[in-house]
Amino acid sequence: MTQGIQGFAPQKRIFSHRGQHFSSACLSCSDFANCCGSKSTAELGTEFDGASPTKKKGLSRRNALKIMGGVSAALALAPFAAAGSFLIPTISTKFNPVLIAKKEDVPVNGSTVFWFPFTTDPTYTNMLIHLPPDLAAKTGQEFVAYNRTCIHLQCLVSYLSNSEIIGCPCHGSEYRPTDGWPVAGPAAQIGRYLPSVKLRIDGDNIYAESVNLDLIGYGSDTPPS
Amino acid sequence: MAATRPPPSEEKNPIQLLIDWLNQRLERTIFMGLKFTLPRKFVSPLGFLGFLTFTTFALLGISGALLMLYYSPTVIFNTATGAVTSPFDSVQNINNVVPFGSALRNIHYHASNAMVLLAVAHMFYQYFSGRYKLRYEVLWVTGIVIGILTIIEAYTGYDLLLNVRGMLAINIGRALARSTPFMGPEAFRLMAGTGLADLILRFYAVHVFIFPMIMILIMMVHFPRYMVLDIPVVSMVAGAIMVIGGLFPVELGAKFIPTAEAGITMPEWYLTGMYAIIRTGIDRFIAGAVIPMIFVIVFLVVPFIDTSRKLFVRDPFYTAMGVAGLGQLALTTVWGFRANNIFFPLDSIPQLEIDPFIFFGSVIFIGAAAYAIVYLWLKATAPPPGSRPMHARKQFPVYKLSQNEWRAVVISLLGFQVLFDIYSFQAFLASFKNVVLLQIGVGLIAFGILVHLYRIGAE
Repeated sequence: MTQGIQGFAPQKRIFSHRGQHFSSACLSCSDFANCCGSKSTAELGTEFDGASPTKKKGLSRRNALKIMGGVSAALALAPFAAAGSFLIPTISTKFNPVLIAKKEDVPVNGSTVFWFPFTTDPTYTNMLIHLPPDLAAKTGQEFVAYNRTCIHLQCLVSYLSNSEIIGCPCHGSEYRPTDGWPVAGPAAQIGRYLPSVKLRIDGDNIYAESVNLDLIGYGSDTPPS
Repeated sequence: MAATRPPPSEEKNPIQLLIDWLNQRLERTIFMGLKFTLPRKFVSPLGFLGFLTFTTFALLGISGALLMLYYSPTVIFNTATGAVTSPFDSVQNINNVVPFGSALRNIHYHASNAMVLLAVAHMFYQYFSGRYKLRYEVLWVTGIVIGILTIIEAYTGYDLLLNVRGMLAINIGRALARSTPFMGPEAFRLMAGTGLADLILRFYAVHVFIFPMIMILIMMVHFPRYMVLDIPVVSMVAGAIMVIGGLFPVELGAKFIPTAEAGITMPEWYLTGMYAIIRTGIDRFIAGAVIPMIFVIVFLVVPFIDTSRKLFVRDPFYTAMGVAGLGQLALTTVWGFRANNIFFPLDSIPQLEIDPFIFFGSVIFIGAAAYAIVYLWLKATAPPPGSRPMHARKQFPVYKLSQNEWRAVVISLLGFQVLFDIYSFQAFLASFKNVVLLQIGVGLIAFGILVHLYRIGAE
């Protein structure tokens, strides 16, 4: 403390406690009973510890009641642990299939963005990719769909038809369009697949059926089935 | 002014009687448990940085409560048209349309920066002066908790705009929460709810109520019993915040729209250190949670390890440790703004990735070098054992104002304030928003100087 402040330190106040007088300095003393009281430690021991003067071995009745009180308080508060689920909202994992596009709407080597299963967050946007013939031959599927949330830091990735790659604009991660495996950038260091959206192709219509919400922005350890 | 102070025998005027009456009644309240000292001469603000931090907290509370009247946390994505209803719209309204809204937003923003800065300065001052041990432990630990809450407050605050920068910060936060081992999905849902609308609402509740309330509760334990209320410095800090707000108005940024390209945006300066660690590409949970936690825990346990009874520096080990920590903090913070090579500015995406070996190598090197230099220097200059440390104070030459000079300065300051009030009112009518804030700040600084002149003149 600087000198200026010290100059204004107030005078010690006198407090009264149980008929004895203490200066204000005593209140900050950790051993209040012993260092400030005018009685000896032995005398104070009987007065301050609250136990009966004749010490018995084992748990005194007073202490047993204290423990019971503590247990009772814990039991009274225990049901509130369930309120923790209040903080973590449940989210439906059963979705109605959504018509996302007609086959002819998405040209070969083109893509379209669709919201699924919700429309409350950009991380629920996905891309439907019409694979070019050479890639389609590899996967045996003409259409694939992935969630757009980059597994690195949750930017939104897009299909780049010029380079036939899925690219992230933020940190330059790149994914294979065939299975969503990261091939370059920071996502490649993490090494998990982009979560795929399960599709159902009904004649000319393409429906989105399901996606694992827990893997959005995190990635999947298994390739799309 | 000495003549205007009534001698004790003189009869008190009604205002003094009212103050006395109020004082006696307040004796019955908790308020009088706090002892405020109003210094009668200049004392170093380093000693009451904590109270200055609280001043900015109060300023944030007032400006934030007013901003709540116009802020709207609604987020709706129209999937058909691609339009986004976003809190950004309401912030834009506050900034551009609401009278005095831009001033309040600037005060709120710059006060948040000032609060983080003052809190860090306060912490390191208390650390280096040794006031963290020997019965200061509770103050120290609660202080660190309040410090962490302050940074989370600042983080949730700048995300509430939902501009491109805020969205990037939200994404990083969500990715970190999701990378929590064992309970990643739960941590993610706890933070983000079921979507962005939930997340903004949660951040809003945390930012305006939950965390401030927790902070106030902890402050009750953190406040020492004797506090220095230095009105000149307090009003000058508030004035400085407004002057800076007028000179460097906070930007609105670009509205976040899912279809728009994201560029390179920086987090706020108190988070760039963490940003730099994340950019090294090491496991995100280690980068974003474990390493910062190690840093915090080291500082948390120091008072329990350092049981020496020496106060006021001179303990080479802990002083060197503090300097090393400060050096590492500074290096990581600066690096967060820079390219993969700290000597180049960050302007393209490939430069984002920092080589972990170079990064952690230089962090460890800076820490070790700072530690060694300070430790050896303190050892070399330590007084011989047994000698009492010297507390020779430097005497600065003090110029004493004569009565006439003093009067001239006080009257011209008052005139100055009158002029600036008129000027700022004119600026308000002409909607020169930044000028208004600047004038108000200058007026507050003038008031601070005036109160200082009053107290030195009153002696």
